[in-house]
Amino acid sequence: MAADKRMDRSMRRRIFWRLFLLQAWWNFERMQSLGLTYCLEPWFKRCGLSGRERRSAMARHAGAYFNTQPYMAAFIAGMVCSLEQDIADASARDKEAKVKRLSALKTAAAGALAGIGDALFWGALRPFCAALGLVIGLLLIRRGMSAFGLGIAAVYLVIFNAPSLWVRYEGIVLGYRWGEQLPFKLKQFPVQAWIQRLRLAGAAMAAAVLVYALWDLAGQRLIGITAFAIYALILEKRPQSWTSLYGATCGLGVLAAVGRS
Amino acid sequence: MTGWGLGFAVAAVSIVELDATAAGQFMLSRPIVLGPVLGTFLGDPILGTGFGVLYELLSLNDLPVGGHLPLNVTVALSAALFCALGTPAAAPEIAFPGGALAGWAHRRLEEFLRRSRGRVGELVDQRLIRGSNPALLRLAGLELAKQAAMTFFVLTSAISFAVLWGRLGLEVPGVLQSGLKTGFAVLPWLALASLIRAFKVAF
Repeated sequence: MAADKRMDRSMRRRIFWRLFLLQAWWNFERMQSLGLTYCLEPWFKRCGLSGRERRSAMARHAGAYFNTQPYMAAFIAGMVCSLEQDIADASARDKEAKVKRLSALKTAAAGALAGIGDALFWGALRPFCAALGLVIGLLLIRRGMSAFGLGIAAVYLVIFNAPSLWVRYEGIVLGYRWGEQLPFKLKQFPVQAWIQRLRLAGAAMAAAVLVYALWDLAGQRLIGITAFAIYALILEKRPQSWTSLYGATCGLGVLAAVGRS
Repeated sequence: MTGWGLGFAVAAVSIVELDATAAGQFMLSRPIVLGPVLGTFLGDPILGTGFGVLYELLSLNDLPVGGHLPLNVTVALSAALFCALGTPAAAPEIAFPGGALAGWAHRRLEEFLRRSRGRVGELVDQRLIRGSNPALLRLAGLELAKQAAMTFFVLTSAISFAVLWGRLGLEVPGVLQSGLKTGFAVLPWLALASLIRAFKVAF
């Protein structure tokens, strides 16, 4: 187990800030590999690697494909720091095997964490924040507040960033402490239950917004319900098809206008 | 709004757009956040919020996972708002799809930019082999500047097109305008269907 004193608060902060640029070099060949290399750069110095060893370690990470959910990358950065420290402290004979192990663990953890992070942050938290923002916006409108849009924006930013920034900051030290145990330790967190709860709460709020919208429409409820039902059925099969659906609706409008004229 | 004010707003959006994927990802670039802010700045917070909420909900099921690059809703929203609240102002039902076209154009250009970044990896490899400093931060700065410049270009092109269209006195044909009106009127239901779809719960 690596000694925690090298991963002090100042080092954690440096890696944390650098994680914000994880995708600045994103490309189709290596995806986030240069970003991860940039995050690890100060750690190689802290491990006492000579200039040549440092460049060799950087080349290992820069040249290898790496891609994960950007917030969850903090865990992997921490884990890699722990394993790189082991490599730095290992005898010359053990180094090659440890490097291979690090590479395999990094790839495996990246895939697993991408699945968790995408489902949690993009698939559950982002729509939850949007639904919550809408509910807050409607409440602000009912209270007669003209700046309801800024209220929605503030709620969205706070609710989304609180957990994501926590993961990005604490993930570094947790990944470092757990080292190669990271995938097993993460299984202890009931992430699937969190995702399920966020989705349920979000769905309830979305349903409330839908009922409010239908209630508010009065005369056009039938059109609203019909349009919503048709779109919901099609989106169920093809969730990314909103541009096609919008285009098709405009097309129908054009046909109707041609028919009238 | 003066030309300088508009230029400042476009430059600010170009920088905020970096938050979408390239740097930070604090969600400042999400339409539901940017819409009300930009709308307030341009003088119509309600339209800004409306467009922002629509683009946000519509894009919820298009996730930026792996190498997939969704339609850039930050650019789409900004272009739509600049056109709808500019002089001459475009009608919302025309500005909205116009914005989506700008977002689509940005996505194509960003794909090209990402493909060209493969060379940056090779450059870093060469520097490390030569034993020189890879200067990663400088390379990141350059890539971010390129992306911001690209966003600035797309937005100014969209605004210039809208201004030119208005100055030349051109009008969208009545039949097409009627179709766009129908599409825009039904758009909130599509957005709500998209929101409900985003919460598909597997029991």
